[in-house]
Amino acid sequence: MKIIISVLMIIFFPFLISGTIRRVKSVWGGRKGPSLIQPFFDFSRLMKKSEVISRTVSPVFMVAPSASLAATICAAALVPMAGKSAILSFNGDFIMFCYLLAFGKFMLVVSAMDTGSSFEGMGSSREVTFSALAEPGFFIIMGSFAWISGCKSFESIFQGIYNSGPASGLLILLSIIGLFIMLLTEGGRLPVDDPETHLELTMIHEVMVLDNSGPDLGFIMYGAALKVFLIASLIASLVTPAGIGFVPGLIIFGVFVGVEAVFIGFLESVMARMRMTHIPQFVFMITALAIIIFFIVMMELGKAL
Amino acid sequence: MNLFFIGIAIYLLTAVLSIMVKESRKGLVTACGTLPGGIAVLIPCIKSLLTGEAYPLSFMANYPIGQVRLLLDPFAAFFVMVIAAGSIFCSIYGSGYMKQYHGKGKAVSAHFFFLICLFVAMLLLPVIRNAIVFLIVWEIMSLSSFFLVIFESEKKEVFDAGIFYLIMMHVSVILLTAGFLVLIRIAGSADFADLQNVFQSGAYRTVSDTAFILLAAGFGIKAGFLPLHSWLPEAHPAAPSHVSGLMSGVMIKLGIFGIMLMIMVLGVPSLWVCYSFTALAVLSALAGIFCASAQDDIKRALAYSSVENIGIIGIGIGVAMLGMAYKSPVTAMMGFSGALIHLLNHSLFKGLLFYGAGAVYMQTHTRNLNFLGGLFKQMPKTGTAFLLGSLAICGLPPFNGFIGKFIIYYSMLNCKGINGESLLIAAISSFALLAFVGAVSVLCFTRLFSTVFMGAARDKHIESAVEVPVAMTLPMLVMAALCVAGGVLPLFLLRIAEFPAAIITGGKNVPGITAEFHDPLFVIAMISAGLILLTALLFALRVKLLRRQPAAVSGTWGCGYDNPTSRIQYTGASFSMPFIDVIKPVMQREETAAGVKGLFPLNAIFSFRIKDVFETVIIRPLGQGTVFLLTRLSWIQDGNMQHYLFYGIVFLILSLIWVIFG
Repeated sequence: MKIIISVLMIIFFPFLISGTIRRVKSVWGGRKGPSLIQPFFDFSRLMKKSEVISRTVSPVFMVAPSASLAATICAAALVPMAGKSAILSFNGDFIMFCYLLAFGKFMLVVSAMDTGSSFEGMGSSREVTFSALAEPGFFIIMGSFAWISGCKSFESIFQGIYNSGPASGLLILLSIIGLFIMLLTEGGRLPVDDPETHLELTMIHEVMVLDNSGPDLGFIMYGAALKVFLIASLIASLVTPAGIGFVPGLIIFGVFVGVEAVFIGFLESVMARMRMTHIPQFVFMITALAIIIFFIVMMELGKAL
Repeated sequence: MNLFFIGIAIYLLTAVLSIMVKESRKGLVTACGTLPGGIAVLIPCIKSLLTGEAYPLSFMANYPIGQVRLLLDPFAAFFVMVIAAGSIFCSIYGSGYMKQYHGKGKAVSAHFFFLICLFVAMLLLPVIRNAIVFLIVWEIMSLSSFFLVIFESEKKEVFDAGIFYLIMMHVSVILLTAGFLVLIRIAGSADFADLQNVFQSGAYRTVSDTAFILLAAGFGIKAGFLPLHSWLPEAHPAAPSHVSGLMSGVMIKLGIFGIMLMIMVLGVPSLWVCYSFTALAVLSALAGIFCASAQDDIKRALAYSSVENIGIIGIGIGVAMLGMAYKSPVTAMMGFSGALIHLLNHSLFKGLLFYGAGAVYMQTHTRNLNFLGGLFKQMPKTGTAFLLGSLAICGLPPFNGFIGKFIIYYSMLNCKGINGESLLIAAISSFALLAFVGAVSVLCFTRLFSTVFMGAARDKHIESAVEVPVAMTLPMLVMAALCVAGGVLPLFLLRIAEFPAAIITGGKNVPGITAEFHDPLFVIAMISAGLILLTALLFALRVKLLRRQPAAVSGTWGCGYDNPTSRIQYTGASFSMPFIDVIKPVMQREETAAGVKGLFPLNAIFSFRIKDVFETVIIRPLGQGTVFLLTRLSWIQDGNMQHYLFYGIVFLILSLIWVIFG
């Protein structure tokens, strides 16, 4: 049952999230906006289209989108969703989660470089730089949580963090902020990356896929939306309190993912993209927050000793 | 053990044969001899690794060595396995690679002879359990690899690199000799088992710490730990590619072997030594990957990445040492098995990447990233192998690199439950920094792979490159396949690392101590296999969707610019620039710009170089200091024969006095 719900979520939520973000932005901008499931129609239209490929590309370009999406789907299996339980859960799964996403990123970067376009090179270079800066923060957060809760998997850490002493509320709050910045970085949203700019020079994710078309582009779009959903659901299952039963947990989870989507849409309506040179500082905030989390954990553990 | 010696005998026979045959057949003979020899050596190793058996042998040598003990236990077998496999790949690839030097009056004969000498010396090192013989074989290994490095000695930079390598290796030997002498003096025996009996108890804490530091420094030079890594980026690019692959993939691992051996013999050193070792390992990993992502020379970048990977292995060892020091056998086992698995994996993918770089160099005659590009279409097999190797070295699933890294991460998570805040801080910072290193290595290797193989050629000369012969592609593809196999069979990797790890921790082999891992590794194997399957499925879906619609071919979208050339592509330098800017404090850039003057500037030059801070801050001043001191002492060696005779007499008189009165 849980697995079926998770699979359904993995299939439909990414579209709904991007639909919601778009809708919020339109409403904020005074327009009516497309329907919530418009991204799904876009996706199915792309699936039916033929493709245009560049003369420069090699077979890697054709395989990369499939490999990248496959990695993101595998990563999805590790994220706790409905009732705080993941499809597959094992000790140390958060390490594999990160590395699966990195695999997807690797393939997309390589395929972007395959087109020989300087713009796509620019996007790739920024993509790997910023995500490298986001990585240590995530690991410090998860590592600290693993210690304080004595557990080693997403599922058990998110359960255990609620019973980890008086500071758990603060820890959860800080880590939500950290994970949300990670969501903005990895998902390519404002203020790190502007997915709807008209200027290739200022893009990161969108510029990397300039030469993809047809099903490949569909795979990439879905993969990107799925990635946003995955990190959003990490946050959502972190806020879902432990032990409140399956259905209430599911509702809280769904509502919170929705809230995040609305919040992203809101942010994108009121903020402008940062200057490229300021993004590293913004991304380093994850690590800064993570270090604060680690100190709190140290204090808690020190008390326990 | 018999089979082991038959293998060694085949190697030696091949060395002799390779001298006698024609130049064009030398490579073939070496490869044909190494294959059965290597397999003969591999069989007892695998058997020992799977069953935990040890095969001893000892013989009496002449004075002053005395009894020499050889032992092929799982710990030795693990390294012998890495070396034997490496030697097989190296000799097959080398037989193809050396073809370009035939008939040019090069010392091909000496090259193959020393190559086999190096194989034999490396194969013998792990089984020797006598300090003096160990040092002798160690020296044979260093010398024969020196001759391999200076193969193209008519090039000045090659010769300089060779001399630099020779000097570093001898600094290492001096440190090792000093360390071993300290131990032998106390224990009164050169046999490792005797040393172990004397020092394991911890009765001679100061002595064993001193010896450990000396020996770890000596072995660390070989392995390439910071700040002693500077020979790697010099010697690897200078050597022929199969030699750099062998040196980087296999030979530097003997430095790691030495360190593990010392932990086994001396027991775990004092706590502060463990912490400093871990810190150095973390720094090596960071510095290695930072420098690697700034290099324009493929082989230099790969050499720095070896420093990184040695650092990662070192982190595993460091965590294991801390686990031993804090009496947590589980952590120790995990750390060592993670380190061993990463070491085995690194020997595969680093060899593979060097071989790929060699294939590129052979066909394009350049190693500079800024002139390469688009080679995937011309060299699809090399390109595929290089891509798989790059993915593996970044530690991404479904490849073997992930398994080793995962176990090392896991061992750090396991530090909880052990008292001590300092341990917690050490573990979390290495945990986070290891993640950072992993992420930067994605940057480094997407950059390397895509500037060499993706896009279009940045230089006209390389457009004529074609695929290399099958003798070179075959080893690369087999190694790539092994990288994938390691990723989907992690439990097998753990199985062969368990016995050696147990031996290093000095505990009796505790079955099931790593059982905690089996579930995670099993799921990882499933996900890895699933990832490969899913990729294939999605790709099939894509092919099916596109079957009826022919793809339109057009130029790359130039954002409105109509007349692109391959020169406007992102280069290696521009790719890593944003990152290098972020880490400016450690990676300083030396820029030279000239010529942009006036309203209509004509010729302009801009160039920049990334400085290796550790080299400029640590190695250079050390070298300059030594030179300064030695020039002050140069009056001793004035070239006057009478003075030298006088020194001899003074020495004799002094030793006479010492013998009589001492």
